[in-house]
Amino acid sequence: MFLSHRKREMLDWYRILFDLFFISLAVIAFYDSVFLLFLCLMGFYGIVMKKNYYHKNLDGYYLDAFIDFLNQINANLCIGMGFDTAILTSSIVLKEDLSYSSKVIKKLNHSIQMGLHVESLYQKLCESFPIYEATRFARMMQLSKETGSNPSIITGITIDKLYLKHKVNNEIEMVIYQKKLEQTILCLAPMCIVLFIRFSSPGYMTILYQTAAGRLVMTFALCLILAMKIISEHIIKFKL
Amino acid sequence: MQLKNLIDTVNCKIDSKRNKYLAWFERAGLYKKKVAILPFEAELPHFIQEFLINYGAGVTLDKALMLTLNTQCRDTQLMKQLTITSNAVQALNQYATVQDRKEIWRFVRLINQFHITGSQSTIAALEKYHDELWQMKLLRVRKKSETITIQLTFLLMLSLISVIVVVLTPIIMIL
Repeated sequence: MFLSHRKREMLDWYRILFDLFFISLAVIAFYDSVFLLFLCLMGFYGIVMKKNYYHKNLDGYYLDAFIDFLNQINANLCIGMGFDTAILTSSIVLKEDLSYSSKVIKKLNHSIQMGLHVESLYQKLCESFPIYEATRFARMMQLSKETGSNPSIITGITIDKLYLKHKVNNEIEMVIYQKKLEQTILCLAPMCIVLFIRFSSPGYMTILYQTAAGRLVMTFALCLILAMKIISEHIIKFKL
Repeated sequence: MQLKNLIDTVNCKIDSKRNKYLAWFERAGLYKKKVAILPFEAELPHFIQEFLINYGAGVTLDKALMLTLNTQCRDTQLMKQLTITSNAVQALNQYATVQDRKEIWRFVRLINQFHITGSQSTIAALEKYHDELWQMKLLRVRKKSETITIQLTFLLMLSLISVIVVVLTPIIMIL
């Protein structure tokens, strides 16, 4: 019935709350019906439970944690340690660190102490960071065994490139966030105006809620706002 | 069948007229034909990043390119070239010749230089080019965000119409 802890973490709560607020305002402002509001909220709950529409993109979070992880082991790799030894040494200084990268190091350290092979460690690393960059890093580290290149060089290059990518991605996210905020205000403003008129002069708009023609007009007005919301969401989701 | 032929003829005529006028505008400098970005062009920053990391692992140029093409490239035309030539540098050259795009040529030229000379300065140049491409991507996003602001302003009209309808309808219905 209710969402599991894992699913709660995966959901984009900002978007869910905004859409919930939008639906509630729309039904109250344009239909003034508690029954319809209940039906809409039930439908919305179904969408949140079943569809992946509200799932958060966690790539940025994992990329940030992966950079942190690489930085933690890079110092040990630079002084000539292997991947497993670097993990073992890094885990000693972590202690009460509760960040995701530290948790991964502790997990890998536990696996080493259980006697896991380095190849399995790379696999565990890819599972802990489900992003392409981690898979590539694991592949490069395996390749470095064949070519005999220094793992610290691979880690250094990976960190350099990932820093730049992360920085650019953050700036892009910032730009998109501004546009999302603009869209939010744009969608909520008409509803607020209608509610303001309704509460400031209640008798004026009664005809719109009590006659069939009035209901039709309100449906048309709401359709325009919904169209605006859908188009603006489509505009914001641009690809380069 | 006849109707279909008629529609095709009309469409053909419209297209030819349209192209004629667009060519006039282009010559006058009032219109610039939009060139669609190729999949390889779009993924070029990722591609160079992948190549630099692969090369950093100590493999040869050809193997690094092959690894990158196999993991990063989603351009079907380039992959087709790769199956024909089975040499990554040659495939990239042929692809650049066919597509004739500025950004692809810049990358392929650097790869060619590195293939011939083996100089580390070309790798440094590739790194700089990679950084520049990321900056360009950011600039494109900023430019696009400005366009979005204007588009959202036009969309505001819809909400304006909606509010006007809601405000005016009671007056019209009572009268």
